[in-house]
Amino acid sequence: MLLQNKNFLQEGPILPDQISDIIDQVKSFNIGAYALFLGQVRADTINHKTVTEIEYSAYPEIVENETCGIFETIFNQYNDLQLIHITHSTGKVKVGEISLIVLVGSKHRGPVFKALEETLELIKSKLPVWKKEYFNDDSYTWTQNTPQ
Amino acid sequence: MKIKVYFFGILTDVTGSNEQELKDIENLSALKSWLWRNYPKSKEMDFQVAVNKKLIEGKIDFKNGDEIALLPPFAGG
Repeated sequence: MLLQNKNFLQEGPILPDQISDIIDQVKSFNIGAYALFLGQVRADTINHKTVTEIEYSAYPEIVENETCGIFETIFNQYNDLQLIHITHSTGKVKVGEISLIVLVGSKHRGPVFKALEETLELIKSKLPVWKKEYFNDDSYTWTQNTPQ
Repeated sequence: MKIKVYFFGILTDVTGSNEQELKDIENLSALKSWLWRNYPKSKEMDFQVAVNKKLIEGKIDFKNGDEIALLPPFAGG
């Protein structure tokens, strides 16, 4: 049975314990290899101002539909793949905190890195999520994704 | 005829709202004209459109009660 999670959006940062909890909950003896991506809020400096936190907003219903579409696309493309888990933060996430988990699991190590990268690119291009970067002087800017 | 328009991302700042109910806007082209007339800054902005929570491309005619969402370029991940 292919494994995928149901709740993709989470209010606030993703806590380190959640990562081990996800792996603990999988309990699939068909998986021999995992690849994990964590997105962390970075203290960028722009025009002498430093990012302190990001506020994420989303259109949840479309996020849900599009994430299901991503699962289908990736599972169809990588036959060996057994698991995809995606959690994305909404609301405020401070610098140094985690805002995205992508975990893929496969029978063998072969497809995990490509599947992970492709899942991540689809998350960036398909999910209606927006981010507002707050700076240390309380100003903010809406940002767009940069390539890789 | 009424539609409900939802704004996301930078469009919430430009329009100063998350949603508005509009009368007698029958298609996407009329909605864009309304938007540009009331919020000239939005002219510079690119966005995708969802009708009743589905992404739609091309010309779109609205029906009474439709929920239209204007979605600026995505920035997740």
